[in-house]
Amino acid sequence: MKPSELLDVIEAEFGDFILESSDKGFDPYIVVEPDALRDISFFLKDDERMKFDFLRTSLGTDKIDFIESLFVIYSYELKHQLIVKVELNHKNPEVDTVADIWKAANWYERESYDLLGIKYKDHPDLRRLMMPNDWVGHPLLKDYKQPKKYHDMDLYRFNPVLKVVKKKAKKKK
Amino acid sequence: MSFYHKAESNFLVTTLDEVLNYTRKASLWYLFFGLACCAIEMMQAGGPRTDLDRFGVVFRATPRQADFIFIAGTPTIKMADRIKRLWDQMPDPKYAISMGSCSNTGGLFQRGYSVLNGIDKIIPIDVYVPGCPPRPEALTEAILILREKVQKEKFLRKEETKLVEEA
Amino acid sequence: MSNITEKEVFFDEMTLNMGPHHPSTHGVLRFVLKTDGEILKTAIPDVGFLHRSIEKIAEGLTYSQFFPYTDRVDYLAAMNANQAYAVAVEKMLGIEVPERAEYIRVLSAEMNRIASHMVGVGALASDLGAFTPFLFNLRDREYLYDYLEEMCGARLTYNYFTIGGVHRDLKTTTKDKILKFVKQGRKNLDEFNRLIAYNKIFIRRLAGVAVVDKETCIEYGIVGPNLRAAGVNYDVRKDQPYSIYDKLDFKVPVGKAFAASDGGVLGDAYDRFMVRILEMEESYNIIEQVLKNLPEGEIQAKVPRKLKPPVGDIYVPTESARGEMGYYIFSDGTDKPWRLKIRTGSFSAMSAFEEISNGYFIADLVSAIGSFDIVAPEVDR
Repeated sequence: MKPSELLDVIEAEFGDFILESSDKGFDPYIVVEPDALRDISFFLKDDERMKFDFLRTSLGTDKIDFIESLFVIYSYELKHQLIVKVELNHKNPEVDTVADIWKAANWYERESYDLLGIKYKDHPDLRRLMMPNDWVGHPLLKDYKQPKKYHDMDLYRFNPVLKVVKKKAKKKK
Repeated sequence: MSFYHKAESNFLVTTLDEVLNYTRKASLWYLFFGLACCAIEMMQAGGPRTDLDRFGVVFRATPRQADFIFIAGTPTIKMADRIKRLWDQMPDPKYAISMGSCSNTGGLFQRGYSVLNGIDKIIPIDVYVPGCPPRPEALTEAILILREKVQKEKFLRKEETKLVEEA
Repeated sequence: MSNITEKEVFFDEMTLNMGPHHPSTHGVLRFVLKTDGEILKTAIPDVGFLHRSIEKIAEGLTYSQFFPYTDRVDYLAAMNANQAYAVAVEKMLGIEVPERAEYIRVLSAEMNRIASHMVGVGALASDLGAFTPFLFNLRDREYLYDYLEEMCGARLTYNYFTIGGVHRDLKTTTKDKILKFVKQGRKNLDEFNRLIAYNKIFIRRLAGVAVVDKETCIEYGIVGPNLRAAGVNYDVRKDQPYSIYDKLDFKVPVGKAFAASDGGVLGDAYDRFMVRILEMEESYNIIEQVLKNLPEGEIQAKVPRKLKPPVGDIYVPTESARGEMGYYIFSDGTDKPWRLKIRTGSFSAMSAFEEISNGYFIADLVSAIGSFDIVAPEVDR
């Protein structure tokens, strides 16, 4: 189906819960309210006109006013692609999980929790994936500061090239 | 002759020392420890064209049977504890070669939050090989330099002490 | 002798550690095995030992400064990884690449696909004890490295592509050498097949082991040769074509229980092995077609100095040696990306291990890891 037909069908079913939708950019996307995410996901997977059975990826982005969590889905039979986004606030980023609808989302959501701090409700196994188990902080946020020491290892190395570059920049000013 | 009581330098001990060092340098075995892209060049260096086996150098899979370790690849913070444990398990006398710029100083990934900037923060290194990744010819040169270092070691003789001048 | 019935003797679960330093896991991967004697109940993977924070570094660099990092994501097929990033950024900016550059790009990508499959197939054979065919493949890879070094100057991490083309031209002497190599390479592949792929002992070792069926593959998002071995005919080069792949004539090999006469099933380890060998033959065909129809022309399009794409996000998939490699880029109008995410094929294959490894022997786990062709920096980035 073409992107505009796809968006028409989805808006006809769930018109109230969709905050924004567009196909003018590079890929068609919809922005959904966090409470209606699971109903829309079941519809997208099972309906005969949609049949989205392949979850390509799922990630999170830190835009400074809010945190965004999104996933990209594709259909093998009908060959169309859609991006589904959810907007969350910084203080308490919580959203429902889709790991029982598409099993591929399991590890992607664990990675988002590890690197950005998004908590997924009812996830079967939510713990850190990439960083060590006793790491403090979520590294991919825009205002993250690197600690100086970890387990008696010094994490700073003097870089002589950087010192010369900074001196030249100061001289130019 | 026991190795704990080192002797003064005389003709017999020096010749024995040279023979012992020659047999040690001609058969160094390394621990196969490849982390990232440099591991593929280490594998190709053991392959048909640049053959490391002609120097007597073969790979072993366990640290208890190895003479030296090739750290090839980026050391991350999560992996650093394990590298230290492997280094402690190797028996004396042992050496270490740091291969590639990621393990020399952190390399391309210096700005990352999870990369240890240089492996010499946790273990002492004998030879540094620059490159990203270094060619197999550079690896051969590193092994030849290590052999020279092994040849000059004073295994049976006492170390010479220099007189410190009174200030 | 006292009477001990079966109910009184109970079996405990044993927890073993197949640690990050292990000679048969390809790279730094860790498994925690819960076994009942010799039979596994589950193998839980633990990743993150090679997490080099590439996605955070990308937020401080411009679009054309990021190319060396794309090589290191998948070092065995670095040209394919370069191509994935270049295709994504060019689609965002709307740049058209000249024809000669497209042909040279496809040539280098297919040569690197052959080199990557040689390691994947050879490492599986050497894990099971056959060391000689692996050394034959290493000898052939040295020739491929020679020709790639003549093209771009490096052996393993190339940094050859730029936004809008390639940065160095292909000489006619290199072109003749590659054509001669293709003939010799087909004979070497035939010799490899007679040694290993049609060998009864090897077939019996891999037939019926680590079966992953079609529904499990689609649910877990497994892509690439692993998906095609389960029977799904999906290849990004045919379904969503990019570059000049719609003008070339090649077949996509799909698994069909190649070892059925020895107890094999659709989707087992031998199918994955055979799909990779057939893909190598198809890549030789593609290289011959590209070299015979190579046009003249420029190799780099005219591109402005500061690249500023419009605001928005895009997801572009391409087909690399291990499956689908896709880039998600969100740009905010400046010349540095705001968020960049790399989707790789080995990540999905690793995430499926906890469920599918029920009931294996520990020796079968080694052949299962080898047949999925997992490379550590693709999982951790």
